[in-house]
Amino acid sequence: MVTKRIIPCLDVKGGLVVKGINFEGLREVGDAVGMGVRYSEEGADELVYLDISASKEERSTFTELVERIALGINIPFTVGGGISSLEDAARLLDRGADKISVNSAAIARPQLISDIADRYGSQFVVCAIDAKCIDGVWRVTTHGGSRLTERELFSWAREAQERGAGEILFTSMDHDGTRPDTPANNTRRSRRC
Amino acid sequence: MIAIVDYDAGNIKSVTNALERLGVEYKLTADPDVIRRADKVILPGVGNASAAMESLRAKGLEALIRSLRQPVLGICVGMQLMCRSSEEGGVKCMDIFDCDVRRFVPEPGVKVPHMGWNALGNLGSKLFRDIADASCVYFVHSFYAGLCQDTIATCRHGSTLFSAALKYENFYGTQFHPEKSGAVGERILMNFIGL
Repeated sequence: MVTKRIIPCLDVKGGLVVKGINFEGLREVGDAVGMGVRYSEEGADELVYLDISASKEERSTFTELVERIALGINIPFTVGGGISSLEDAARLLDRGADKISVNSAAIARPQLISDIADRYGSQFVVCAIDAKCIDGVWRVTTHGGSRLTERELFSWAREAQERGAGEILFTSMDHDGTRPDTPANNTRRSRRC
Repeated sequence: MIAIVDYDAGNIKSVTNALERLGVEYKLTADPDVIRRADKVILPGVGNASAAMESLRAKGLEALIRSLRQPVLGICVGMQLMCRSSEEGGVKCMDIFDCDVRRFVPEPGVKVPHMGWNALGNLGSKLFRDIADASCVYFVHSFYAGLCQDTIATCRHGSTLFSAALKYENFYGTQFHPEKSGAVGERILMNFIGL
């Protein structure tokens, strides 16, 4: 049976790993390649790097960074952040990413998931979903959690899977960076649907 | 020098990156002379077996690879191409390993593609020197090679026990990705390089 995986998820801004709480109060915590190497040596099974850069300049830094990560670490890694076209995905694949994750752009245009999965396979496509619980309903947010959408978490996870996403990367905005009580219920429900 | 066969078979950067990390001299090439003279040959492969086989034939490399006498390692689809045939596109392959490649049959609670870290069993080759039984390695595939006399490692996905690695004479193949399997994978690559 496939083993449970430990997958550290690193937010990157301008080449550096940053850490926040509930998506805010970011502080720099280290070099992206160096931290990836350390996590892999300590037994991580995979890594996720999310580019949370705001500007174009920072984005091009990230593309170069992906190439250095691919050369530096010996485990699979996913990259995401700002991927909005098949070309974006292809560029990151060329640089050595094992998988890409889509988020806001897929909510705006769900066909993006189908396009990438049809071209490169489901194993290459992760759908990242940031959601928060409002009046008992889990609603999907986009743009780093800053925009609330009308989409409901479980129906979106199901659609993403049907369109060819191989994995779902779920983040609870209510728990981000706070450690205890990550809503395992949601993960179980997402897996069932 | 290690020749990595360049035949437009998907993303093979992970293989060249792994050899860079290990400090091993390699050349990415489709030149028959370079491949023939190399100490070792790696046949990578990602994606569709039928398209990969077509591409290998179009470059005139099928007969060359079958004729090699130095150690050859097929990885993932590269390994599948060394089997008799593949259900993926119903393609006839190189017929080096004595088995056929089939699609995983769907079962409740068992995901296809088989993707992630899974344990190796029944290790039986110098390729796995110093590798403990039940070591985990990284797999990404929807098709598998069955068990046969050439099987040198097994793995289980759902109710299917399949060949995680194969060997016939100087030909080796791994269904998993040693270049993505951390320290265990690096050890396996170094074992191959040291053959």
